[in-house]
Amino acid sequence: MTSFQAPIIGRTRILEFGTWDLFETWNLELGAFIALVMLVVFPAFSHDSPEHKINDISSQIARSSNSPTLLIERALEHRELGELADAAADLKAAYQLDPKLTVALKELALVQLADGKPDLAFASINATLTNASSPDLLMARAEIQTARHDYSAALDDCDAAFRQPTANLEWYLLRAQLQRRLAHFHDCLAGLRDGVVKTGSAVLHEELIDAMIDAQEYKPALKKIERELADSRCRSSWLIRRARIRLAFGQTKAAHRDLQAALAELNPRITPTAPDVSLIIDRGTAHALLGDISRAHDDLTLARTLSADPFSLWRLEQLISSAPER
Amino acid sequence: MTRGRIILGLLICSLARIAFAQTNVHPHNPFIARGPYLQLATPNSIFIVWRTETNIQPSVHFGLSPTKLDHIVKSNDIIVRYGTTNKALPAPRLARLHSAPEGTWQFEARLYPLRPDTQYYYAVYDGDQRLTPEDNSYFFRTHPIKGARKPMRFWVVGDSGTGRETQSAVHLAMLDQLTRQAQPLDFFIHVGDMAYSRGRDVEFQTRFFEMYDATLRNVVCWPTMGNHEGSTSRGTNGVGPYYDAYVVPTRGEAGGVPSGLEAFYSFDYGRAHFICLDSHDLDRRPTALMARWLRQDLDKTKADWIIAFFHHPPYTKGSHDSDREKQLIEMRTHIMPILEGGGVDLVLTGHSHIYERSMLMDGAYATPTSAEYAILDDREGNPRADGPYQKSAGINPHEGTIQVVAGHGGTTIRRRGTMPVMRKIILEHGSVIIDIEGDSLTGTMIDKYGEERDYFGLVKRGRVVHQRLPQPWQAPEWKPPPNPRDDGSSEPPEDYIVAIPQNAPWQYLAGTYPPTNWTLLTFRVPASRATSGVVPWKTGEAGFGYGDNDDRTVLTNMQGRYSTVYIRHAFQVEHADHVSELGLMINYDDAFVAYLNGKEVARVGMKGSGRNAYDIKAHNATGKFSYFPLKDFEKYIRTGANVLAIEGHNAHIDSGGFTLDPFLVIED
Repeated sequence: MTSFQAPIIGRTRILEFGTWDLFETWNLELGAFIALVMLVVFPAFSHDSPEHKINDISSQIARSSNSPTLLIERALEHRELGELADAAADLKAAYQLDPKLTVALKELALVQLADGKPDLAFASINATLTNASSPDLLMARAEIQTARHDYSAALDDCDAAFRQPTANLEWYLLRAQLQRRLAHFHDCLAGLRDGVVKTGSAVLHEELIDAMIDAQEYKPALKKIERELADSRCRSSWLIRRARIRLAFGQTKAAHRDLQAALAELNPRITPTAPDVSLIIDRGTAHALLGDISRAHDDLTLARTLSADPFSLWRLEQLISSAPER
Repeated sequence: MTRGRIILGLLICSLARIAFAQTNVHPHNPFIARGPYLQLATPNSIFIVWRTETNIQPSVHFGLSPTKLDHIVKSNDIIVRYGTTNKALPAPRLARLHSAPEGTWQFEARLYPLRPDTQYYYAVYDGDQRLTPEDNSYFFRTHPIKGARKPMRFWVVGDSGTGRETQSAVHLAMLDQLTRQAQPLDFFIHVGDMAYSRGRDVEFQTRFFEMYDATLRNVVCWPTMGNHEGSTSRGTNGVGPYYDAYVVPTRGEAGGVPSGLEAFYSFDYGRAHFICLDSHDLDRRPTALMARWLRQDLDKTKADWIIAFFHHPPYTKGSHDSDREKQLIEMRTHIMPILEGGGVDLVLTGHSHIYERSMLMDGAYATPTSAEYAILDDREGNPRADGPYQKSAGINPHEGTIQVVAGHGGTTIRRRGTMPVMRKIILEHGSVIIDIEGDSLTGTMIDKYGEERDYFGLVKRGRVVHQRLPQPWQAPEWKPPPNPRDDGSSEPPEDYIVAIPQNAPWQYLAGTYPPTNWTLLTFRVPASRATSGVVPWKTGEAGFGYGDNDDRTVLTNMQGRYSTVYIRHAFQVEHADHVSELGLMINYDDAFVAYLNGKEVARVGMKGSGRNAYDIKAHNATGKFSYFPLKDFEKYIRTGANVLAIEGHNAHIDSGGFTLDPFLVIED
């Protein structure tokens, strides 16, 4: 752990929680954490499949009694098998057994979110939040608010989380996406620049260039895009970005050349049966910028079926909805 | 390698490991608690990392000859990290180790600038005192410059971190192969689960660093986090023993695109580009952070070869099922389209405790996995037999990938079915050596006995066009063996400690019945009939029995005369509240009841007990040990002396055999 210039302390990624998280959320000191880990009843059958583990934990529960720890362990296994209703039931039961165990409630919220029940998730996460809530919980609620399309409230949670002396790469990304969506371009650019300096992340750098285009900082954005184009084997995503700027400059022919080149590169990379969704979004964007709204719409529809998150679709949706009727 | 040599090697390794574990120090110097080992190699730099148990004035001396270490990295240029639970660190510039033993110091020295593809020797110092021995075994070779056409060899191992003999055997078999072929490793890749069972600092120490010490001092291990390390380490923020152990690129230091996180990264070696992903605890969705970075990284690389590695396999039917489990399904449906669209050649994974190697395949993203139209070449791909697989020169999307599941590096192996895209499925411990030379890649699976069990190749040359096969070759039908757990036994813990060893001397009573208190710790075993007036107990090494040549204490008069044997053995527990599981490993014929400090904790194949035993079911000793966790042990175990007592029963007095061969294990 040597590479960060500034330490970045994080949170539990949505839908990902493990034993570590249970203790981290309790904000325990290191020694106490280790001692508690030692006391947790870990199933002996750690190398079996989740089904085996569920059976084993169920046997343990049947032999002894319902323990919150065992229920949470079993919820982890149910989640791994995508059995979200069972995972939620175990987490609820764990919380009912020990109402101080707010971590169970937080994880319940994330399971409910994954199960497509953002309103239930919102109610669950709110029950865990207090005035002194951790940035981790605030960011979890930000994700839930985002799923409920309440972007302003989500951004408020992000801002509150960032006011505490911890941050993590994914938080930078979510906050920037919300800021772009709400057209808070100045804050978005400042936050991303800070994130790029602190982490060096290429994804934040890419996000920064997109934000610069949205904020109409075309010339500095173009400079960065040219550098990426010179350095890349696959160039389609950067060609599309350059085309957006060229269209803004009124350089339609040059923009269309970029878009045609992007499509020529994209098509062989896209398998007909189960394509990479980002390539579909890029192709749809290229079609939309070329004015082929019908194909753009087809790609948007396909992307929606391929687990694309709303932020990644937003640009394409905007292009399609703002296109003149034909 | 002969099995005799392996056994000898295992013995030496085990003894050495025991010695290390007891003292937890470096074999050469009491100061060094871990390493030194190599990390984050590039053509012109490398990290040397080591730990001490006291603060030192650290420096690293290095040079082109073992007798001329004429370059120095001084203490001010070395990153220092410290293990403590105190809020205040001894010095403000220190970083904190997550959960290293109190008072541990970790030093991370970057050697720079170095010449590419050059062998250097090094030594670690405390002030003027050399800590590493004055021999020439501490050396490394820098990476060649990006794009250099240099042959490379690397080792792939996964799910190895048990600290058991099997792990040693796999390592030794690999080393023996290198010696036979007179070709060393350039680096190695661990595909996760290197420190069972929870990736704790002490588990890294004994099950990774001490186990692989001889290899780690000369080549870099490029890691990916397994689910077991994920119990104590987190990918989102790079905190935990896993992240303490490794120094990996986050800013594109070794080639590739900056990830900003240690959980996923890439590096170049000559004409090959390597991509490490975190399949365990990061968002695997196709528009999430890791997938976006992956796409950028693939877009940038201009290497001839792309090799990806992560823990959870997209295709497996070993101990895990990629058609059932979320992480595996998501790696297949979300990540594989990006990798194959980016032209990946080889995907290395673990998690599933088996060796599985695919045909040349592309686009098998559905659930359940189907091979139809997803296989581009269904031959064996053996360069010595039907020839290697072929792809076009350079990097081209969707021209075929070989999947290798290498989760057979040391822990219990298992198979639960047949994954239809696989060409080789081998249920044996081992590891994989990959060689790349020019436009040819070969992979060799070496089992723990040093035998070559699979050999495959891939050549990237000219222009190759494949047709997708509607009905590719399929592995022969496989039926699971009869359930070995019909008797209620289960899998032992990975990290058990032996409390009563195998073949230990037990007190035993045969041919008569004991008093009712024979299971208690307070029971005084009558030594002779003269002093006690009863049949004396004897002492004999486990196992007890007759008739099947598996007994150390042969009960020659048992058949036809008596059917029950009573045995007991005392053992010590240092901290009863630290024991998370207590279990019996036992080979038995036909039935038994076990007692811990007088309380029944296990029963198999019978009702009643002693002279009132009945309904005894016949069970043949298999020669293998079954594991039975002792139920409610936590109620009966105590700190200090304990006693385990077992009564073994034969179903019939005239039975042709009897076996009672136990040992006791603890998970601490």
